[in-house]
Amino acid sequence: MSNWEISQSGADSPLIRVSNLSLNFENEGVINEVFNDVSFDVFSGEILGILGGNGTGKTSLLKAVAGLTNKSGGSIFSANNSSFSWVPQDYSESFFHWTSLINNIHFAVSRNVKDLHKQKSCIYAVRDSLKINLDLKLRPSKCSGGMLQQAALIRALCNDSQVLLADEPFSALDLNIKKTVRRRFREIIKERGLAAIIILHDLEDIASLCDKVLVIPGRPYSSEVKAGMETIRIIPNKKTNFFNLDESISILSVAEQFLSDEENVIS
Amino acid sequence: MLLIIKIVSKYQIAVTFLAMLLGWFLIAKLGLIGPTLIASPEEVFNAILDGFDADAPKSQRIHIHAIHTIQRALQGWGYSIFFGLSLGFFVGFSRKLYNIAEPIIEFSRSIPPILIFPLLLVANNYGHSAYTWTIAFGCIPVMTLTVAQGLSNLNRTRVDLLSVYDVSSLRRVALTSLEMAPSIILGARLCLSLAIIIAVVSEMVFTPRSGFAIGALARDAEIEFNTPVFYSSLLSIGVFGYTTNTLFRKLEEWFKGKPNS
Repeated sequence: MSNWEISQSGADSPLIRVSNLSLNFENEGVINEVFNDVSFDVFSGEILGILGGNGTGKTSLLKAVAGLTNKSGGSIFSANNSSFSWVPQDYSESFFHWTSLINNIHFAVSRNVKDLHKQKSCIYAVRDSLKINLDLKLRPSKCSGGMLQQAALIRALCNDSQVLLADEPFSALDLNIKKTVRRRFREIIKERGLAAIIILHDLEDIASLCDKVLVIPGRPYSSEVKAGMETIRIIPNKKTNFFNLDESISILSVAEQFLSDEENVIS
Repeated sequence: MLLIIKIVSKYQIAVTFLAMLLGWFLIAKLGLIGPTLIASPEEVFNAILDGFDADAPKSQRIHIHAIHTIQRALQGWGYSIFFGLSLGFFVGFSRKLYNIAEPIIEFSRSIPPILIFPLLLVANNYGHSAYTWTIAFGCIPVMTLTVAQGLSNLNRTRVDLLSVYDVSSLRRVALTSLEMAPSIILGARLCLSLAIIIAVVSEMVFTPRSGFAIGALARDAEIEFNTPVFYSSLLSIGVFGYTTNTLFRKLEEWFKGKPNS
């Protein structure tokens, strides 16, 4: 957790502030840059979507914010030592197979609540609130990928954390469940005033869930794609590569265009 | 036909054992193999039952021989669990330490434990604990490597999850230990099979005729062409090995969680 610097939060200060963050990996003496100079703020009740092609370092960025990967440069401020919850990309690997889903969720959320009965009823309340119909007494080995992802979403919303990090949290859900869960997910984040950073690939997810979007352009080590970053920087905020979703339609179409251009460049 | 297939698949293990028993019975009864090489099932079961008779000579008290061997195997196995677990956790915590220790452990693993027995016999004042330590010598490297590998192969996502959710240290240790349970059980299972083998082989080589040991009993029975006693000693140790192995496998499966399919 050495990545974080703690700041005192005011009403208008962000819960998470990432400034000039860079991440490099060393492989056999060669230093490879994953991303460089990434900056963003996430305020209470705000949802930041992260969009980008494969291998651009989205998951590494999320892990750096969570303190799981050591950053190479820049700073990450966490207001009042905020606690985190996490929906990992490989959600099916995040469950202990020798016990039920409810116990798996309970391990993650039980730090501050001492009453076992209260904890479990709180978990069921979140499940119902997300409109998820899932038997939490099942063991993970008896569940499909979609069921495990639903359980991972419940787990992320069951504790009293202030920051929510999610890596493709709806990738395994079918369309019917996804729409409802996504809507309720957003409502709960807003109600609780969480600062959420969510990696998404689906532009519809971005449009219906996020307040702002950070696009990480291009694959690393590709000069052609780095040129694409300049395209991003000019709209609409020149200083950072954010799209503000107040202008959602046009911005999403630009984002879509950007991603398809990027695919063309890479291929 | 469908009913037979259903019954066979439901009681697969029982059916296999019954088929083996029937095959054994037929081979012995029809004289397909001579009586010096095979005893019939009845002769073997009678030999075991005769051993329970209080007046039975020592060479026929098969269950007492088996108990002594199992006791030795379990004692050596217990030592190897204790030392193997401690060493495995110590070595497995650091990749560097593991890389240093691995060649030493692999080297000691490649030495047949039975070669060490004479040395351990002297070290233990010619006492019975030489058997226990020989078994432990053979099993400790297996347990150590299994635990160390289990620790270094812990699922990264689950470890990261406990860290992000700021789970308390005590709970983290408990969950990590439980997460390692399949590796520990696997090591314990392999060690128990090895412990029985080392116990029986060392008894065959080093136990005198006067001693209680299933290895020595089998050796002497074979020398005297006493095939029912020879087979009953095989059967008694085989049943113990199979039962414990099955129990460990079930426990391992429970921890891993059997998939739906």
